[in-house]
Amino acid sequence: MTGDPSLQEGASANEDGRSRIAAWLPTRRQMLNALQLNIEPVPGAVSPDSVTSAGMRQGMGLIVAAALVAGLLPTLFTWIMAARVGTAAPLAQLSQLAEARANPELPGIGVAPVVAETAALIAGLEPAYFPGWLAAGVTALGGWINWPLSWLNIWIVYGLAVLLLAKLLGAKTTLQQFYTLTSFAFLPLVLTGLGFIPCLGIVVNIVALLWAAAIYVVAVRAATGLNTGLTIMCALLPGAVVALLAVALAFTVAAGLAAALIG
Amino acid sequence: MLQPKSYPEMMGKALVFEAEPFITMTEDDNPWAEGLFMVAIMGLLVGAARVIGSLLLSASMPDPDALLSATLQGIRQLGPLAASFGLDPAALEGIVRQWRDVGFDLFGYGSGWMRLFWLVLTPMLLIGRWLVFGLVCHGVALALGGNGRLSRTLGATALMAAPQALMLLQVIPFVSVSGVLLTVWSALIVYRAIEVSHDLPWKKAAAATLTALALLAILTMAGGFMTAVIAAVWGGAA
Repeated sequence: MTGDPSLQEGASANEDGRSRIAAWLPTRRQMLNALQLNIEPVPGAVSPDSVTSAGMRQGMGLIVAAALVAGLLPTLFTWIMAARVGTAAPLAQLSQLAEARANPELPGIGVAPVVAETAALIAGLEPAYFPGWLAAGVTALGGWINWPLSWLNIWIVYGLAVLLLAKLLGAKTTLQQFYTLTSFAFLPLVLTGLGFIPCLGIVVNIVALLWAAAIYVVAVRAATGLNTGLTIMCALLPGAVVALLAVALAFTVAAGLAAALIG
Repeated sequence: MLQPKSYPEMMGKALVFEAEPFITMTEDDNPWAEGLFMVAIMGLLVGAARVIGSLLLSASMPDPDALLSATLQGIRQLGPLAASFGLDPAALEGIVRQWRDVGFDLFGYGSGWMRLFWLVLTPMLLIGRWLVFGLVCHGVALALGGNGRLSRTLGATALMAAPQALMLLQVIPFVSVSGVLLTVWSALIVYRAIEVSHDLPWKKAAAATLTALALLAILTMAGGFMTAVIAAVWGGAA
């Protein structure tokens, strides 16, 4: 060891930096345990490697970090695609999407080709002040930031529905315990960052979602102390209700459109 | 009074529902004034972030007039199709022109000085929301056997502004923060604030929070309806 005080200060700053990261992220061991569905019930946790000994702040940090990692490749892909066109990322994506939907060989009412043409026209417009690459970069960055925001949305909002249901069924847990443990379910979703790859993307997405669902159920069971059957019901029921409402809404809209067309 | 530099740490702890910031706020010498200052500062910061974000949005997007004329060109091309659905293409074009300013102003896209409106409106909205939550929750909590004082409840519930920190990310164009996320997270913080400041069990604290949330939803819907009516009347007159 050197006795140079400046180096020691540097080392201490390094350690300080590491402890700051540690305050916002679970340990590697905790993450590995969660990925292996190894989550002990809440009152029994003693080991620092146990998932249960993590805090909610670390859970929140985990979700943000995982979402940023997942969103990195798609963001770079979008940026490059938009920079080539020289426009904002959402306009380039809109144009690409409209073009993909506009198949001239399909018989139909001809909306899609017009929308595609209009989207292409809009994407071809120059940004008002920024050069194309910068407009593409700034707006793609916005898309990247939306990854953790949407994951936090699911974690907090969906989690509350599950927690309320579990509480009504007699679960003994706190907000912090519940949200800490369920945050680990977002770890496999890092794989969804590969979802944009044709063919492979679908398989990767399905694997990631199933893995995340399994961790979520195990985490809810550990946090609430409910049996596996009730835990699965608590974890799935809010999703089923949302899906039913979405189907009902889609059916109503489709029925309304059909009535307008026939009438 | 607390130092404003301690606000980020307190809000960070409130976001993860730690009891410490709620206790600090209730034990402050002037909790409601502290809360008002905290919410107003957050509102100003969010308003400033929206203004900067809207400037960057306008710089990154095409000129609004060019965008509008491209959109109208598309609508004209859809003319025969729209007519077959019983829609008048000219009326459709009129509606797009009429709502262009409202839509662009909402996102601060090419809206000129109008974007500064958010700088004033955001703190006012946040303060209004905090007062509704604080007062209603306090009343319901007292009715359910709570023992907190109004000033302390207002101080603790001011931490509901913490999730608004996510709105600061709107400094980057196209960042969208879900209103549902902000509302639910704020409501959970209020729930913790009521639990701590009134020493209530979870069911009673949840009942107080849900009552305030329901009232806020009714007020928001009524406000939205009134805004739509005023906009329609204004638009019709123009």
